Amino acid sequence: MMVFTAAVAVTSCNKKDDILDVNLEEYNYDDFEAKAIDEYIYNNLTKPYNIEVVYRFDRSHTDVSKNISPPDINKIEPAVNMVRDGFLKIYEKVGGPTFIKTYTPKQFVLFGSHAYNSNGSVTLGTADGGRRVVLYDINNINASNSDNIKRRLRTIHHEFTHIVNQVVAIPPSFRIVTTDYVPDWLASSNTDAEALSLGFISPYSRSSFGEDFAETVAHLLVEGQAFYDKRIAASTPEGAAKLRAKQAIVEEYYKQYFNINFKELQYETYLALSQIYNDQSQTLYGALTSNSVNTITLDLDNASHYVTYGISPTFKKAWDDAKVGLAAYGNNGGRYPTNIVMVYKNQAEFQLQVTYRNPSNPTAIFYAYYDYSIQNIDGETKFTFVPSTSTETAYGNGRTIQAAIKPLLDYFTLYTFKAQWVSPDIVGIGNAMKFAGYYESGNEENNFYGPVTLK
Amino acid sequence: MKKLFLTYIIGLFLFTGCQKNEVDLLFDDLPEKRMNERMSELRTKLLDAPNGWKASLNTSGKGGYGFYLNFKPGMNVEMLSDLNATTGTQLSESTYRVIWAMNASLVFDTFNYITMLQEPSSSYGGTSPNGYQSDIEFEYIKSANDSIYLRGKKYMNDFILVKASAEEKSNFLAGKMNELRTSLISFFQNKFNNYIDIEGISNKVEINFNTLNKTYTAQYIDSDGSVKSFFGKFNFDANGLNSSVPIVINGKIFERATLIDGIIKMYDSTGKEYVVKQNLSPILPIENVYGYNKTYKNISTTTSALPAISITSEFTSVWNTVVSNFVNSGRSVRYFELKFEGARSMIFNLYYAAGATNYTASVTFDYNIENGIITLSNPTGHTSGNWNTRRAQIQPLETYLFNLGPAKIDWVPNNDGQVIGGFYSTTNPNNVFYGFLK
Repeated sequence: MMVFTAAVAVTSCNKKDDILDVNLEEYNYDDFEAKAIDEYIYNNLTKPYNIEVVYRFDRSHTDVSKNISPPDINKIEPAVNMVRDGFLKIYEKVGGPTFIKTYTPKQFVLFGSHAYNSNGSVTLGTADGGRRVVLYDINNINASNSDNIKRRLRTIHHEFTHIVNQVVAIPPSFRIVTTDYVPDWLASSNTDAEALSLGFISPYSRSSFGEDFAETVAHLLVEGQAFYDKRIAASTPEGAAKLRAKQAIVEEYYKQYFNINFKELQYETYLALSQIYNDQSQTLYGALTSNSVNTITLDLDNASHYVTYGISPTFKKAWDDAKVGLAAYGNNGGRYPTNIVMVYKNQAEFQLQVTYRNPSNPTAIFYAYYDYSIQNIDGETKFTFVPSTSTETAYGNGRTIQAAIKPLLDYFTLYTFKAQWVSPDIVGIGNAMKFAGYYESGNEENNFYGPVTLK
Repeated sequence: MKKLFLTYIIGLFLFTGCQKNEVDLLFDDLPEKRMNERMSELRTKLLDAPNGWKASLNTSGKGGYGFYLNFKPGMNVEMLSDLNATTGTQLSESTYRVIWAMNASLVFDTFNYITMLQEPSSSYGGTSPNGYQSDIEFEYIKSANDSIYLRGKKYMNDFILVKASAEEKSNFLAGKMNELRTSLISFFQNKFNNYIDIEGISNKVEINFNTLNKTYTAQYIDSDGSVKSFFGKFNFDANGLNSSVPIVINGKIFERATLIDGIIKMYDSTGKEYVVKQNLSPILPIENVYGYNKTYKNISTTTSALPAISITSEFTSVWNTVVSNFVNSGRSVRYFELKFEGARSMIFNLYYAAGATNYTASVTFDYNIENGIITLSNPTGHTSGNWNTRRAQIQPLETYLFNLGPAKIDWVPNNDGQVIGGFYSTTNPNNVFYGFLK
């Protein structure tokens, strides 16, 4: 009887639960309808990387006290592509799929407008909790303007660095490299020049060592090593040493804690920017056309890299023919060339400096100079020999042995070239963007290359 | 007995255990039911306009803005707006959602023309960091057969949707809203001192439309002499001008205005029309704005030339003689200025130049204003050194000013909407000393 009673009591009260059981389907407070772009996001970010993209307006994803606009729906695809190509794929390739899938922020929130701050500045992006990155100003994204993309990618890499720093803290050694942090980085006294002279890559770096670390990483990746080196050169001796020390710590940090070769990250970022967004700021062609190249040295007989990485047969033949010709010059005087240097006067002219020796005067080194003009058109380069009337000794020498080394001199004018960094696949990642190569257009087997110095 | 007791107990359990089922719902139905009802009501309504909606939205930063909206199945919306020529002629499509956030809410969740008002920057005509101070999230307040009344979530401004007729739709799509916008803007650039007459108000009611800020004002002098001012907001639509925040004068609600054949007519809520007329001089009496410690303290020119007016005055030739006297003496007149120096004294400054050097010749008057009549007195002996040395050139002006006598202060009519005031001689109304009021 007691059992029966209890059973009745229990069952009779179950009904109460039935009624309070709310049908959650009825609680659907939204009527979101997927569009083509939602499928695009799913296929490109959600499925491969488990990343959600919030682009429909949701005030809760940002400061409720600010007016912030949703993005234009047509700007979502370029933003998704930028995140995928300029950020995820780079880390995926260098750090491995596990690394990026583990550490990538899982939510990207896109807003069309800037977020205005009380001090008049605008926020380009924020990261919080290691989960979410908010990107602003998506309405002005322009995939055909590489500077526009780079500014945004710098923000993404900056924010991702914060997230990585939450996994493994910034090494204490980084904190003591520079200590000149300021409470208000926007203060007019914190100029770019002052920040640089103190060893900071940007004025924003001065806000804290955490921001400094993120800024250092973002600039090294997106603006590239050449940019960083230029900043080092423009800094004070102390500042330069500090900038170098920071880069060393950054590289060591990624190597030691994540087994990531930072140089590879830099190179892959460069490839993405130059190939997808046509960014010429780090390409060899870009450097050549902006008068940033100083010399390319072609020390064919002595430099070890030609032994390791080889020489194209066509160029080798021109060099060997020149050697034979020069040896036969002047009653078989046995002269021999030792080195070639291309010295760039500017983007339109280079001086070919051939060094040679004469056994009859074993201590002397002779120079023969020749002028070439450069025509850079649509990524292709042609050289034209310009006869010189200069009375300089080296030009005189040049005229003297011109016929003897004709095959070499002619080589430069015979082909249309494409100027490219020699791939790290050949020279190794440590030499990435250090060897300048000229490849015959349409026949890359024919080429010449050598270490480059920049202006 | 035992059984009976048990039955009783069981019965008690059954009864009390299930009593909660019977709780009266305070609001007729379960919350999720009511939520859904309200959301689907709004969803259905938005789609239930075969010719789309004409909408007006107020902003906190500026005035009202007009829209043509067409909500489409698949949660897309097309719109036109009276913001500029492009937004007024090119339909733009974006997404929208109806969500529950304390109430059924309409959210324009990707960028479109309406977002240009909410956008924080100054790129679209607003002021950073809050743009026009407007919303893209709207709370569903109420609806009628042909209209939906929504309110902005943050700035709490009205967003009212009214079903468009087939004719209105084709007008919107043909760019009529933009056409009217441009013609109304050019109308107000060329027509000044606009006013209407309202029954029961003896003075003219000045109406001033600010087409840049989309606001309008009305003011008049009441029978007790006080100035009554009113402020409203408007937007453009395919019919003309719609009062998004109407001005209400003496119980008359001014709802809209049209521009047909170069004439603007305003309409109150009863459909009565008021033709907007133009005056050659400002509507408010000059004594309200001109005087010591009032808005305008100076009568002056900006160059040596007098402003163009639509009456004739002896002063014109007097002044021109003085100007040419100076030219003949190798000098040049720059401009003049008659300004209040205090409750009893005024100074007349004549600015002239000799070569690259500027000089000022001055004379001080005592003045007295009674019933709008000004009398200048006591100039003799109060002329400056420069005035005395240049008296040969200034003489006609000195004679004129010293002998003007009692004069009525009033507006001077002109065709250019300029604020020109003057002293009309009481003995000779065709003789008036005049200049720009500053």
